[in-house]
Amino acid sequence: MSNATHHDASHDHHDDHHGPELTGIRRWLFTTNHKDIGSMYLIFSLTMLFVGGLMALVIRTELGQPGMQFVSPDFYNQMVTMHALIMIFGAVMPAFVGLANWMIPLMVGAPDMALPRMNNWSFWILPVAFGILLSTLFVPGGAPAGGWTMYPPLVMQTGDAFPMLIFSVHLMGISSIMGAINIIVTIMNMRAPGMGLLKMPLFVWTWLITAYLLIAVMPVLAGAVTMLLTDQFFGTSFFRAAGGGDPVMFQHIFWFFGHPEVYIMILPAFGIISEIIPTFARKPLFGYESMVYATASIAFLSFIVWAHHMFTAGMPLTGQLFFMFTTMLIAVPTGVKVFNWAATMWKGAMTFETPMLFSIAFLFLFTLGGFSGLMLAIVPADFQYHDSYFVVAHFHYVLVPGAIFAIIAGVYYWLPKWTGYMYNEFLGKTHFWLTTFFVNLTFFPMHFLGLAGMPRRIPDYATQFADFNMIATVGAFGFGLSQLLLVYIIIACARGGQKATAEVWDNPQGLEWTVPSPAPHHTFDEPPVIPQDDYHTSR
Amino acid sequence: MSASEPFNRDDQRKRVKRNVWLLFVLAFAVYGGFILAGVLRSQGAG
Amino acid sequence: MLAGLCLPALRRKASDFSESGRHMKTIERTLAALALLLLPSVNALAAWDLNMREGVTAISREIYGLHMLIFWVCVAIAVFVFGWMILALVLHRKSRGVEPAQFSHSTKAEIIWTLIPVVILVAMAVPAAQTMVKIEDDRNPDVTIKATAYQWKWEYEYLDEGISFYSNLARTSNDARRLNSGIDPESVPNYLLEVDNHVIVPVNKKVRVLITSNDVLHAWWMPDFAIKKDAIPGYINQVWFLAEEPGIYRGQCAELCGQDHGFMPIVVEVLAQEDYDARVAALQAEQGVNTTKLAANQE
Repeated sequence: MSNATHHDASHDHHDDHHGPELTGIRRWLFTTNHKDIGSMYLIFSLTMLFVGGLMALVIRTELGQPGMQFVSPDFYNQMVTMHALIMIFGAVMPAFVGLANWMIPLMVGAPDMALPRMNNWSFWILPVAFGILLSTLFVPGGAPAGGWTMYPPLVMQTGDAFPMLIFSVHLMGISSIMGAINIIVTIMNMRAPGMGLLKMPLFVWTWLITAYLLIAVMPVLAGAVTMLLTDQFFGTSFFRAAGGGDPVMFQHIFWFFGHPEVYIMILPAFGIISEIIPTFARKPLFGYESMVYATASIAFLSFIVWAHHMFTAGMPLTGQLFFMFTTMLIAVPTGVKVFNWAATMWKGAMTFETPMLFSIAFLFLFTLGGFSGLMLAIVPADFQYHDSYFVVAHFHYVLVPGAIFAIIAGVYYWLPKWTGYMYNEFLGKTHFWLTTFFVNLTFFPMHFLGLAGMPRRIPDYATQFADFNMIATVGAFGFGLSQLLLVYIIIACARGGQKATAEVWDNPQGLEWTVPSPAPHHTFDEPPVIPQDDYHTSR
Repeated sequence: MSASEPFNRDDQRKRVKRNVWLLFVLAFAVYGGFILAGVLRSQGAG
Repeated sequence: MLAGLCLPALRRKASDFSESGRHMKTIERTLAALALLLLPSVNALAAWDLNMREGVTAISREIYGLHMLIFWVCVAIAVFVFGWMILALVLHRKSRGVEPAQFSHSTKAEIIWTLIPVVILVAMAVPAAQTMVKIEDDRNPDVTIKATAYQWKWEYEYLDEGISFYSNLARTSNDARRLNSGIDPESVPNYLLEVDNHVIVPVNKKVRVLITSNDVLHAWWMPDFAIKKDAIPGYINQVWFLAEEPGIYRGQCAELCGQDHGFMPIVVEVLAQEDYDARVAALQAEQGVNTTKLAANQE
């Protein structure tokens, strides 16, 4: 293997540095290094996780018991809206982009991302976007309170925050599009010689498909919010019924973005899980090619299911049936993935380090969220589930023990590669058990609340919902506090501990394990040689 | 790209440039397309 | 606390099969007593609603049936998938000294676990589609009510009877829901689920509701009739129900509509025909509706 050691790099234009050229704040502001930018994305995401988490705790505190004790209904709605925007665009998406930045060049044997300066730009737009979004909490009229879906006409009642909301969504979109272009171009052009498309690790594959989804739908969101902006300030009537516009059209456009967005937040998670399970089962991934095809078909189906978010908006019967069938169809490729993971574990020799524990919890709990998704697809039953706490339980199950567990699993898995030290395994396992217990305590009772008839996005509720709400609130605080342990583990691991080897785990597969831990500032200045009996091809 | 091809950074840069422009054009086409669809739809409904 | 969560579920399951003998009842009672011991705060076991209600219309019962069907299908799949994974977790761990197998493909397995879900889904989709067709059959209503949503109340107009009224959150709930009102919600009957003017409808009659909005989006949700439909400015959505039992049924707005979204409930009172007629006549007299002119218009 020709990696790790720095050969003379005279034939290309890269300087052969062993560390960053700049120091202090300038290093981070002007960096074009994929590892630095990846770290910044991940730290930003962790910060936003706590900001959005605090908002969730405001929500859960108010819902702890019936009656209004702590916040006004309007501030409650601001918290609901901001929590969603921050968690989706500020926590989950940047975390995946951060992992992509760190790992994709290492996994495909590239020296860096294809467009390092644009990489820097797409990161630094994010703090600005979220600075604008968070500052709306202090403007007249308060933060946006119409829900993250920004449905008109309600969103038009937003105060001074309205143009700031639109502008920050535009910025997030630009950042995502640039990030996605960078990832596609890197994967298509920067792979080391010999790494064919069907030899790429699944994390790279899922990110390639996710990046195409991003390019296809972030401009749609940008278009929708631009139309909101012109409706508000320039007298157009895209969505104003009084001017001949159509409020339902916004919902169609929004969910044409929104449903692929849901998969943008879960496909890279599938990729991470597909990396981790084979390592700790000590067995090649089962059905590599069918995993790729399943991911691609989920991505395709995501474009033709959007109206299942609007079953109660009124639609012709044929429309409802079409969207019911296509939605149910998604269960097929998703099922293929779950079965493949189970088959990967079957007859392996498993050990249960923290990344594996989080991955196994992902398998169980994401599948649970998938089941409630299947139930929601049944249109007549959806008339009861829609906009109730059943939906809240469903999407939190796929996003928290789904997307976020996968991100945490990935962080534990690659942390020794990033820092050069092993994290504390005992604390990691403690963190896992606390998190898994509290995540279920928080979100499982919400199924019951929804079925019993509690609508979502309400600041106060009828007294028969009191007990489960109290349980969920206790769970939410437990979950939030447990994440402080994650921060401690990461900081402790960055500062020292047991030295990590290059391989870190027991014979893991992939190029990232051929470079030393911590990964040097510049890797693969010389393209590595890809072994031809790669683990993805049949043995 | 196969293992037998010689690895050339300049070729790589050309491909990168072409890809980037294509993807940006695609993104702007989607953006413009949806706004255009909105214009047509709201005109028709009015 | 988790045990507390599971027990009401068992209790519910036991009561589903109450025909199967008296010993079931005993088990049920024992579990209920156990639950009482374990639960952190028990107001009344009745408060632990765990499942969707069956409702009081033929459609709502059919929807409940669909819900239970898909639920048990999911349970069956879960037993299989989770069982398989748990078995792997128990048997194939390195600490047992097993050697990992190295297989990575099986076209046969891939085909099987693609096709079986397709078959299950088609089997699910057929009854769901049949119910959809029934729901959409809104011909020949006996009573037509137009419901208009406002921030934050409902207006109901009886198109053939000429009467109309607004329906606001009841004063008792409205006082108690103020920030730090000092009033215990538990002391307010039907807290947040009571209004000043109920929607009145006759029993066993097909009632059509035309739903629209005067400002932002709202949604008219009545769980006992399994109806939820958005109120959209510029649109008139239709739903219908045929309630089979007299009684008072309560629902809420189900689409975020601003600060008082949680405070615009819907209450439908299903009355015997003669009670309904008397109430309508009283409202017509109160609102000065010229009934002879109304009848002439409808000829």
